[in-house]
Formats: sequence, C-alpha cells, structure tokens
Amino acid sequence: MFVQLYLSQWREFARDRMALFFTILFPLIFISIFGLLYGGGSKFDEKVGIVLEDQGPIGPQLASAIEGLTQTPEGQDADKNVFSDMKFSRGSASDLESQLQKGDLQALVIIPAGLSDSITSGQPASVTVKVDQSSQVFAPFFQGVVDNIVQSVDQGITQSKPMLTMQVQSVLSSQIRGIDLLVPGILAMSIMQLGLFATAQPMIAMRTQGVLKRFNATPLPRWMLLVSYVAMRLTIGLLQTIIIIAVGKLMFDVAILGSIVALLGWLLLSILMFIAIGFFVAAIAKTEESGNAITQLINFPMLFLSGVFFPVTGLPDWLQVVVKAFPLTYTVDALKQVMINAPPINTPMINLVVQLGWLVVMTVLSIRFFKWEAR
Amino acid sequence: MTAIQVENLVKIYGPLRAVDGISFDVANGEVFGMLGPNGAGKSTTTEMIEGLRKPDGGSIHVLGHDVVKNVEPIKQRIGIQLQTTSLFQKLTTRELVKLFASFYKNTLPIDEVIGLVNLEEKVNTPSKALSGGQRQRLAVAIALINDPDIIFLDEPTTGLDPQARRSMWDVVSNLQKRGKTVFLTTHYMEEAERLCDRVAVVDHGKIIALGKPQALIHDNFDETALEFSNDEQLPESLLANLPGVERVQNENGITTIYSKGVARTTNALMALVERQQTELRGFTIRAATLEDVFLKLTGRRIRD
Ligand SMILES: Nc1ncnc2c1ncn2[C@@H]1O[C@H](COP(=O)(O)OP(=O)(O)OP(=O)(O)O)[C@@H](O)[C@H]1O
Ligand SMILES: [Mg+2]
Repeated sequence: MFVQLYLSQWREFARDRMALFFTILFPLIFISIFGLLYGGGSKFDEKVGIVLEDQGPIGPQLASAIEGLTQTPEGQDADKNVFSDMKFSRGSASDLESQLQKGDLQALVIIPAGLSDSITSGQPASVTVKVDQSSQVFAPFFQGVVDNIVQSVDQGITQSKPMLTMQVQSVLSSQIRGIDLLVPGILAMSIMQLGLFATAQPMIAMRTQGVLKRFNATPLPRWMLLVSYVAMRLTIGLLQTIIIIAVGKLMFDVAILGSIVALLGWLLLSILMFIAIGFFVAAIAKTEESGNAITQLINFPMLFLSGVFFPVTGLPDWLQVVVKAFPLTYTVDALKQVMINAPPINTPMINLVVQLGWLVVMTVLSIRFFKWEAR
Repeated sequence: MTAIQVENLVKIYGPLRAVDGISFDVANGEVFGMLGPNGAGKSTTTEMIEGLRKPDGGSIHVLGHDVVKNVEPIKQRIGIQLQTTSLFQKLTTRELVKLFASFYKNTLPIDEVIGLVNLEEKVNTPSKALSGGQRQRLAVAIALINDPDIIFLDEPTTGLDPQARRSMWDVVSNLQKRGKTVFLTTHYMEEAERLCDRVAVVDHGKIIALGKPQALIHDNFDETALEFSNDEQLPESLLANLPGVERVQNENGITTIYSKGVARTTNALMALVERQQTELRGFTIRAATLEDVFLKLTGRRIRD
C-alpha cells in the first residue's frame, strides 16, 4: 500500500516537467549563477572606523577587541582568518561618518561617551554599528561579530568579574566568500518552497479535483496517505538539498565547516517542518486560488525578512518581532552556523526547539483540519 | 440479510433540502436504481450511503453496519464509482488500477478488471489522455477491483457512446449473475428499465415512486402514448376530446396523448390534423415508459 502510494506520487511528480524544473533544475541554476557571481574573493578587506568616546574602562576594551579581529590566535593559520586583511582606523564621529557616507569606510563602530559610567551605575548602554548596506556579504557578518564581542563583554559585567578577562573567540576559522554565505540561504529557500509549492499546492489540487475524495472511498487510512505523502516530499527535499550542496561543493568548493551529520540533521528537521507548514496551508485553504495567495503571502515576507539573502538588522521593533516568529529565520540561522560558523543569532538549542515547536504544532493542526473534500 | 437499509434520510444544504426523507431497502443480489433529473438528490443519497457525506437525519445500514457511525468496517466490501472521478493525471490505466488494488485485502487480477470494461488497449495511457467515456470505464474498473459485494455506480453510462453503454450494461448484468448487489443512479429510463430489479424515481429529494419498472408503468398507465410536435399547437381541448384519450400533456413543444384505444385515437387525430390543415412532426406511437411515469407525477420530463 505504502509502496504503491509512494511510487504513484513519485511517478506523478517525475512525469511533470514543470515540477522537475522547479525542484531540481531551478536551485541548480540558482546556485550556479550565485557561484559565478560570488565565487571569487577570499578575505574581507573592508575598512572599519571606530569612534571611541567612552572615557571609562569598558570602551577601550571593546575597541581593542574589535581591532583584535585581524590578529590570528597563536597556533592558527593566519590565512584562515578572514578578518586578517581588514583595516581599522580611529577618529571622531563626524569625520568617520562622512568617510562612511563617501564609501571610504564600509562600517563604523561608535562607542558612546559615558558607556562605562552608565554600566557601572546599572544603566543599560549600547554600542552602535553602522554598516554600508551595499556590502551585502560583509555587513551582516560584521554586525554579527561585533554583537558577539559586545555580548561577551556584557557577560563579563553581569558576572561582576574583572573586565579584563573578556574573551573573543576567532569567529571564523576558514575563508568565507560570498557564495559560502549564500548557500545556506539557498538551501533554506528551497526547503521553504518545497513546503509551500511542492506540498501545499499539490495537496490542495488533489482535494479540489476530488482525488482525495476517491481515496476516502477506499479503506486507505488517512495516516497512510499522509505518511506516504510526507515520505515522498522528504525524498524530494533531501534530493534537492543534497544536489545543491554537492554542486556547490564540486563546482565552487563551498564551505561546510560543521559536521555533515549535524547539517543533515538540521536539513531533515527543517524539511519536515516546512512540509508540516505546507500541510497546514493545504488544510486551511479552500480553493487553489486561496492556496496560491496564502503561499505567496508566506513566501515573500519570509524570503526577504528571514535573513536568507540579506541581514535582518536595522528593522523597526515591531518588524523584529515578526521576524522572530518566522520559522525560516531559525532555519537560516541554524544552517549558517553549521555550514560557515556564522555568528549565531540564536543558540542551537533555540533553533532546535523553535523548529521542533513549529513542526509539532503544524502537524497537529493540519491533521486536525485535514479535509478529504473541498466542500 | 438486506444489503442496504435507508430510513428517513435527510440532507440539508442551507435553505435546500437536497435529500428530504428518503427510505428504501435493497436486497442482497438486487440491482437497485435511482432515477431522477439533475439535482434530484441521487448523488447526495448515494454518497451518504457510501459514508462520504454525513446525513442531517435518518439512518443507513449497509450489510448490517451503521455507516453513519462508522463506515470503515464495510469499506473492504463495497466498490464505488463516483459521478466524477479524479485520479492522478500522469499515471496510466494499469498503474492506477494497481494503486487502488493495493488498498484492499482481496482483489481481482488487474488485467481481468481492465478487460471487464474493455480498456485493454489503453492500459499504458495516462489517465489525462483518456477520453471522457474511457475515464468513466476506468472509474468502474477501480470500483470492481476488490470484487465487492455491493457496487455503487453513480451515472455509470453518462458520456458513453451507445456501444460502450451496452457493454457497461453487460458488466452490470454479469455482476448480477454473480450475485452482487448493484446500486446505480441514472438519467436514462431505458437503462433503469433494462437493468434494474427495482427503481426509485426521485425528484426534489423525495421518492415519488418505487417498485419494479414494469409495475411502476402498469400501475400508472394502461394507456399507450402518442407523441408528436406541432408548431401551430393543436388546441389541447380538441385533443382531449378525441375518442379513447385519457390525458394530454404538453411539454417543451412535444405533445403526448395517452390513449386507451390507439386505433380510434389515431384515426380521429389524423382527421383532426387534416381538418386543421396542419402537420405533425416526429409522430410516434409507443408503450408508456418510466419517463411517462415521471411526467405524470411531476408534470416535467426527466431530461430537459
Ligand atoms: N456540497 C453541496 N453544497 C451545497 N449544495 C449541494 C451540495 N451537494 C449537492 N448540493 C445540491 O443538492 C442538490 C442535489 O444534488 P445531487 O448532486 O445529489 O443531485 P443529483 O441527483 O445527483 O443530480 P445530477 O443528476 O446532476 O448528478 C442539488 O440542488 C445540488 O445543488
Ligand atoms: Mg449526481
């Protein structure tokens, strides 16, 4: 029963040229184009300004930690420190800011006056990072790195230990190019679209056309139908992501710094999560039209706001909240962490729990609202 | 044991009572038909019996099981052809039959079922490329794959050419010979008269007549029908006064005279036509059919 169902769906899929194109060929073309565009370059050589207005002890500590990025910890290959070619300069706010405007600097870190004082008196204080948004690869990366440094300083303070014990780890241990940064995004995007376009839409079509109704007239149990459907999408998803990774690896030597097993685990989790989301969309959409509308309504905001291709910083607070709710945010973050050791937005635990949460909730809801018939 | 027992079945869609208190029994081995016009409630009734729709009132037992409560126990033993069957578009006839066969414990050989509906030539054609009639036959093949005790056929011959229709009738007759129970719906009186042991004539969600086709006709008529169309419309009052005439019915430009003395009525009618200097088109004399029963009971024809 399972085998026949699985095979049938596979045939239905494999004989559909459009579906094949979008699931297999499209990501390939995508990665090839990006690979050619962003495959070059090896290290960050961006110029960064630092404005140190703080007179207290914390400000200088931060500044030198950031400048210390160019130094490679002992015992490590300097060639593998992507920040080693960066240039730092100090100066006044007005001066450096105009340089940033002109494009002479790609980023600016402002450590405001009174930062140490406010922290010692228990007031929160913040460091501002300004980035040239046109340097799309560097900007999010640098922001993440500075954020990490600030956090580790902050941790030092709350533990009320000597501030000097601040530790900045070398965030990256390998050369990161544009394509390396993009591959996790491409993976996340294709996984999401698998859930939306290859799960939700065919399911809605099967319901509105009456295929599901015909199945309902047989002894085929609902769970068997769903399991075979998931198994089939899971196969496509794994196939798709493995192709992307393999092509990326073979053609552009894309970085996979974390363990392959962990990567596969994260892929599996997010594929299942997005299949579940697809099921939910299929369960609530009554017609193919409303199904299309809902999938697009999910697709576009997530694509642009989940950090797939560009950073999600600098958004208004309310939008930050929305972004925090997007499951794709966690997929992208997890994949970036495992593939390129990117500065984390969330801990792996949070990424795991949030995605598992989405998976479970969506599964329960879509089984609850599953309908065999359109009317 | 009775194959199907339906009692006071009701289905309501908004303001519409699509099925409005229908009751009947179908015996084991019987071919039972529902005959009625579009929207009469045939499919709704059928699908409630199949467990695909929930009734708003009444009870249904199939092979002794209450299907309103739980239809699963009988699913292995019934075969269903829906009025419109959608299947995976890119799978071939054989692949589809095989797929459905995998859902059942006991099945007939795949090629045998395909042979039953004469689709041997199309075993490797994707269902998308089948004609409407071929697709209909495929749907019937799938309904037969588990060698069911009860077969539900919702308009099995709609869209079939006359030859395919006849071979579908053979399929049904063979099922009956093998002791199967068949529940079918149709628009065609000829089909109902030929195939069905008993027929329920339905209109607006109600059974308006139920019984053996011949009995239904004889109960309602001992007359013969004379039918013609006449553009100038011979006045009904004149026709009604012709010798032997029982009733006159006018519908969609077709006049039907029910007569107890065909010879007398025909002669008088021809004389009248000559006197009025008009013509009759498509003049026929025929025995009464279920169509006439429907016409008499509702004032309408089944197919408009
Ligand atoms: N899901 C539904 N929602 C609303 N109305 C419905 C629904 N299903 C059927 N109806 C209405 O119920 C009535 C009976 O429909 P049904 O399909 O049972 O008719 P039928 O006798 O099978 O007609 P046909 O010969 O055209 O197949 C129709 O008026 C139809 O519009
Ligand atoms: Mg119908």
